[in-house]
Amino acid sequence: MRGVTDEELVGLVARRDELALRELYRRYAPYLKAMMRRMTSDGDEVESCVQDTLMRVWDAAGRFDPMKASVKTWVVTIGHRLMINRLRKGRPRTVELTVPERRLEASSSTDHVTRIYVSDALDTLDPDARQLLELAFFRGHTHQELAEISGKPLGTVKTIIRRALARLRGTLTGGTHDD
Amino acid sequence: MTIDDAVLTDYALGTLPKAQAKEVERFLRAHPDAAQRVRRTQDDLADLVMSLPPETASGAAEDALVERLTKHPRPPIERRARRDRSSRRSPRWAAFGLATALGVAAWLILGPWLNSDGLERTVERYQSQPGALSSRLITEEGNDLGTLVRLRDGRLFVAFEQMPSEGVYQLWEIRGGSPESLAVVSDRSFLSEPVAPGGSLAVTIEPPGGSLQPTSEPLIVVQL
Repeated sequence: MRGVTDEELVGLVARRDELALRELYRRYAPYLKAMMRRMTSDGDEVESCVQDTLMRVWDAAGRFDPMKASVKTWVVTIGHRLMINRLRKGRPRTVELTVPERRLEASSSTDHVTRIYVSDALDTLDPDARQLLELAFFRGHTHQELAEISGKPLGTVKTIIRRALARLRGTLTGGTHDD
Repeated sequence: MTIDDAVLTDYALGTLPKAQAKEVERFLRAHPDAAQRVRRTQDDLADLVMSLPPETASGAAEDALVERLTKHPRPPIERRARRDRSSRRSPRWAAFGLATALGVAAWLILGPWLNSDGLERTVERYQSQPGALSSRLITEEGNDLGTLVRLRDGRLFVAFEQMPSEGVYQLWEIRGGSPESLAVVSDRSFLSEPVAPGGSLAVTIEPPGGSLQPTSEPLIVVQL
């Protein structure tokens, strides 16, 4: 199925084609795992959430609308939200008051994660912006929580995140970086 | 809640609480330009994820996934609300009765050609039928939910602009003040069996699988 597009695969999954689901798993599970390992150090939780993501794809393939999202964005968004929900259920009510340097890497213990690669795109951000963006996207912290964690005013946090995303877009698309 | 760019960014990042996320989704349904901006941000974040070094996905985990399919068959396309006369206790829906449900068979027949890419053509096909009456489903807040086509034989065809991101649309026929579930809409469109004139059609958002009685205020009520 290597020559089959993602959209065609989703169409096949909608018709309950298990081979198509396997192919989607092969294409996306490696990246879902990479994302989720940045969100939790619990390897079992990662494996379980990747499977739940593909099960959700299996259930929802008939409703996939390529006019609204690419398969890539659809699958990643499903996986990301599932993991965020899991993190929220297990998160203590208090938030951390300090953010250790390179917190995400330091919090991980597996061999995979000790060699976590910080993508070129993230490396283009200044340390504050990168850290806030990672805490938002990979840890699901709200702007308000980020303001408490970082000690920065809420408005400043919002601005940093928005500019970080704009810069990220510029890097990923090869365009200008600043908003 | 004021929905500004910061809130839309929070939504794209997946950090909004569920209630606020739902509010944003209602906003996005009515503001395609904002929806487009959110989509771009989500595309960027997906690109970021795809730029991470891939992890190994084992064959055993893949096999376990397929094994789960056999234990967890995909839910049917349409699940109907069961009749529950206790709904009459609700003040807003006080006199409402429940659920003769319709349309599963019609949906099962039509489902394969009602996927999103063909939906617009399907709407046009129903609108062009002799005697068909078509109207937009516009809420009091001005949100455009989709299209309602009343066919000459009394059947109702409903096509939604998009699905709610959480929960499902559920259609209710209101007759004599009582809501009867017409359908839990698990895709973007639905064709009912003939519905007698004189009643009303209501649309609510219900938990996945639908509800025995409405659990939320109707988004819209249309006289039939």
